Amino acid sequence: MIWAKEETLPREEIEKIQLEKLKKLVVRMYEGAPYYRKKMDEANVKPEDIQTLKDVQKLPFTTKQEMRDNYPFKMLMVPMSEIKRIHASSGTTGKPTVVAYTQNDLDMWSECVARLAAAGGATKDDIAQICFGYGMFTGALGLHCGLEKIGAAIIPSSTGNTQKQLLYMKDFGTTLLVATPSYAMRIAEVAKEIGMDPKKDLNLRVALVGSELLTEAMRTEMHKVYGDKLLVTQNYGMSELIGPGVSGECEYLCGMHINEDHFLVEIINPETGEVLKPGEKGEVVVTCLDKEALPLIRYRTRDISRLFLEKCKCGRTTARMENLSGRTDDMLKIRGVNVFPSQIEEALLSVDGIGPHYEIIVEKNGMSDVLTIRVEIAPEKMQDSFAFISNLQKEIKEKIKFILGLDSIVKIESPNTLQRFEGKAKRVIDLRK
Amino acid sequence: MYIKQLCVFLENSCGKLELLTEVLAKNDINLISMSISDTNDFGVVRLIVSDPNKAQDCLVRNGFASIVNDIMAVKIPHKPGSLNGLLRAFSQKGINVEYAYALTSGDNASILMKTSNDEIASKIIKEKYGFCEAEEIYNM
Repeated sequence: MIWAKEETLPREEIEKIQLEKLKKLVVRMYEGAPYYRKKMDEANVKPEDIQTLKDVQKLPFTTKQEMRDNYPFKMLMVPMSEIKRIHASSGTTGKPTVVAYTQNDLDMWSECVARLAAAGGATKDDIAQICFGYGMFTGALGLHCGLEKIGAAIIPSSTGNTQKQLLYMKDFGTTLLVATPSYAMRIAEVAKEIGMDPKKDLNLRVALVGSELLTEAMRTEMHKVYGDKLLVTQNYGMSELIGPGVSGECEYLCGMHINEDHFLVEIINPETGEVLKPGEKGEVVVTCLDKEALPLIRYRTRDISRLFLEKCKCGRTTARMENLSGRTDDMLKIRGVNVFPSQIEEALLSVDGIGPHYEIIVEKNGMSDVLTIRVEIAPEKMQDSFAFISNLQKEIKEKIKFILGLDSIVKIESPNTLQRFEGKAKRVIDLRK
Repeated sequence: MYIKQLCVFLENSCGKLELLTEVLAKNDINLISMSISDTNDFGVVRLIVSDPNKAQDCLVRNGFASIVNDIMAVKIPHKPGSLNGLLRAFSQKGINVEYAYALTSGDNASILMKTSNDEIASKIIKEKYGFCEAEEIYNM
């Protein structure tokens, strides 16, 4: 279902809206954001230099480091009396990244999420169970408000106590699941442990996944455990930009439609900063066109994707972001080879006989990097022959070698040995740092 | 001709086999015969136990990857040369023994084995020696 008329405007009209908002934003930032005015002066750009949408390229980037440097509230553009909500990113190291919203920001946020949830399959008739951690994290309340706007019945079950989650899911007849892909897989695993069949015993119709990258291989795994009829769509965002709400997949699963009237997305070469053409892969850079409390110009997300501008079969005309191929932050350099953990995931999930959980360990042995991959044997795939397991090990090694050109050590372990995650999975351990 | 065998995947590290036997002990399951094949990283433990289906349930609930499958239990005279005689007959028919382990008790001996062709192997076994009764073994 198409939620808003802004999703089907002709390209020229979308760009007209973007340019109008951009011009206003630049004036506002130049006059009211000392940190950004300084950067504009250094780059020798004035607000009046922004006359076309392309002129955005003249503007300086904003980085996560600046948000950290201005912790907690120095980047806010409105007085605290106007702020209605404060969230913060998980911030595994150091101080969290703090974001804040005015009433208009919250309204815009709900509207954006409602559009993406509707594109991703949600309707007012759904019973939506939100298995994202409620709290400072933007994911849970973001999806909550968007789905509420659509009119779905919401079960704010948060994360944890997976058996209880399953009880709600079964007894309340949950039709829509919101979770990270890894937690969705964990829920299915626990279902099986307690003798439930997610395909038969649950009434799930749609899964809106987010907060961590969904590979096609993981989508296939989700279909294996929940059944082929489950529509699995992912949506994208990050707390700095607003939370979830920037872009999301429709039922045609051909990239994530961007809410372009609120977010201007560019793709750049992360090394040179040069803007790339549609279809070329690079770092996603986002300008929040009309946020009041915390507008950002050309925020470097570190996510890797590309843009498609063609109209989609669903009827939306908004540009689509290809599903992320990784984050520049997540990229590992192993023996000189650039490796995204998602590439390893794709290889592992194509192997029959192991479960969907894995761990990647990189360490130094003398001068050389050693890549070790831990996986679990799938209990239902166990065989009496020893060769079966040796072959499994060999198959994984060969697939990794084929995709990355790297030798690896593959460790096959018992079920339930590796750590499980309820929020974002942390599957890479880099011991070289 | 067949009895039930339990195959369990184990990491090759300290305490894993203990954990496996602890699950069996707590559930009052007797171990009748066992064979372990290993590499540096992992092993497959093959077990004959007093109640294979119950054992399998308990192991799965405790997070082990395991299956129950059929294996031939050959009754064999406890005398020099009796296994050799059987294997000679197998070789002549081109049958390979994939894995095997033994079970002896007093004057009785038996060999648990999986071959490349159990159908032909079982005919040879019947002609020469015969099979153990499953119940007889589970109650040892």
